[in-house]
Amino acid sequence: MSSTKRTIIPRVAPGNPRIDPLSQQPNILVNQVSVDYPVYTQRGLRGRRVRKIVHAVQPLSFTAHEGEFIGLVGRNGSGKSSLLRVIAGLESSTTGTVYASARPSLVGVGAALNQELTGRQNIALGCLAMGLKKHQLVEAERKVIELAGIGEAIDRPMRTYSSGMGARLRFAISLAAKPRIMLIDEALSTGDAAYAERSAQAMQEVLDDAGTVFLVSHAAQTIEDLCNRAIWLDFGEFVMDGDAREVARKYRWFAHNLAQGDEAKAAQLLADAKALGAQGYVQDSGA
Amino acid sequence: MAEKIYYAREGVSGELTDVVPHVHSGRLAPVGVRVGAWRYLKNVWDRRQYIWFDSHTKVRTQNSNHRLGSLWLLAKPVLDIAFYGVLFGLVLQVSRGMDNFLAYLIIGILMFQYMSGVLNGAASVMIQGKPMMRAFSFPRMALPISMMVRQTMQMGAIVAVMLVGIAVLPPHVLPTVSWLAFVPVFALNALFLTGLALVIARYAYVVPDIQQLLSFVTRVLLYASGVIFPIERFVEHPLITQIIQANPFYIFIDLYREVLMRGSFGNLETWLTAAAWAVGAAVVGFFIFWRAEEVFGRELN
Repeated sequence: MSSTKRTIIPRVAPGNPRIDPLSQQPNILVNQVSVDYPVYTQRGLRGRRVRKIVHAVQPLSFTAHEGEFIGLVGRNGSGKSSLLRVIAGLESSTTGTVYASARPSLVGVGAALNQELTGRQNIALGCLAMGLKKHQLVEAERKVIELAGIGEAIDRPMRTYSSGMGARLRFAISLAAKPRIMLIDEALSTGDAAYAERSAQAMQEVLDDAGTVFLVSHAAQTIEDLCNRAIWLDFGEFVMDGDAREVARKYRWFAHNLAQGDEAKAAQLLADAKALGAQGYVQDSGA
Repeated sequence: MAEKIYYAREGVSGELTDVVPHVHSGRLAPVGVRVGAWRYLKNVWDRRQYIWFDSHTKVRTQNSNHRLGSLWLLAKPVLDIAFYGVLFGLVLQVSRGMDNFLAYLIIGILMFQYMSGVLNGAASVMIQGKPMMRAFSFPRMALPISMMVRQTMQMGAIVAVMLVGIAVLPPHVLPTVSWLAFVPVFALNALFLTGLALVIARYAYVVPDIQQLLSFVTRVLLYASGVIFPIERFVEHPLITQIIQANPFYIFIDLYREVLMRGSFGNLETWLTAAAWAVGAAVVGFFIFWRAEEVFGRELN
């Protein structure tokens, strides 16, 4: 998978002389974006429903450039998916604005598109929804089927699909419109090695085409394997932004300590990480 | 661009000066911001192939789990007509003194079911469309319009059965030139329902309780629109009669009967009122829905 790593000079913190805005065109600007949710909680079994505001994403700003494959890491509920949905324009942010050079397309693993329709019909439905025209459908369908690789299931209703098959088909459909900015929400953990190779190839094509890909995952290894930059969020708060390997490893060490029940050490690691992240873009230490 | 662009991580803040030119030049444009009304209308029009495909496939698959398949599209209204015919014609005898109760009932029931079908469909269409909305960005208005197109396509067969039915069943209503006027009445009715569907779709997404309320409202409308029997025979209060006759559902159903049963083209005033309702509802519905475009992106708990 190391072939997906490219020599990219990422956008770095202010004051760093390596930044060259002319060679790396920004594709996305996240400007002061925050997301608050109202949630209703109920104490006990018969308690009163209480409305509470949850800060899913605290005000956050960054830019993403052509050729960058950015991983969003963090624990469950850290605001990764909320941020992704705001970047996709599917959800409005509470404050701030996202700017993009093209319409971002989100690939999620949520519910199936239309359960009663066959895979092939869903391809047509999805492609038309994304704005493709009828005469482009034949070519798009061929590519989607090739990438999804779900065999003759393509002519069966989607309700008969396993969750993995459904996720693969959806992923392939969203690539059919040749998105420049692609946002992936944990869609890659499905399928065999051949499929993983094909999808990595497909994403590489997006990157080579001056695109930007975001990948949400709580698996640090996936981020390290695929991405060249990573942003770590924790309970909606920014922790650090930097080289994918560096950030992923620091996150994994934190998550490992947390899993071992060593909360004091995990808290210390998180505090260290935040301090480091506050200094700017975290470079690859080469270790 | 009034907004200042910041680079503000914790501890480090400053202006993102190198990005500003891209925003100013328009290369970077805001995401998820509602486009202007005219542009929005154009975007919906650009998705017409999607709307067509979606409504087409849904018509074909919606009854595929049933033994009789699409035959239910016809069987259901026929059963309804039989039920209401027996109840109100034979048991309650509201048909006394009417020259053609059967045709009156057939037109009323079938056309009213189209209208109530659209209203009920509109109440659930956005919630059912969640998977599509989550997966793709497209003008959300495509969903209620697709539902509208689907319901209208289904009416093709039902209208054919209706026309044959009133001609074959005694006392026969024979086709006249005024039957041609059915087409513009139906078009105005569809436009009116589209507007209404957009309003309902928008609010029922946020307040699903509207679905519950709607089944009650359609039942009230069933009796308040002269679907089964002429209200004039039971309502004598002039104000209530006026209110009922101003009700657009009544106006459309009455116009259908006018052109199909009474062989007349109706009077100009009725036509103008129907047209005003249709255009008014469509314009209001469009703007209400368009203004709420971002609402459909939000996850509601």
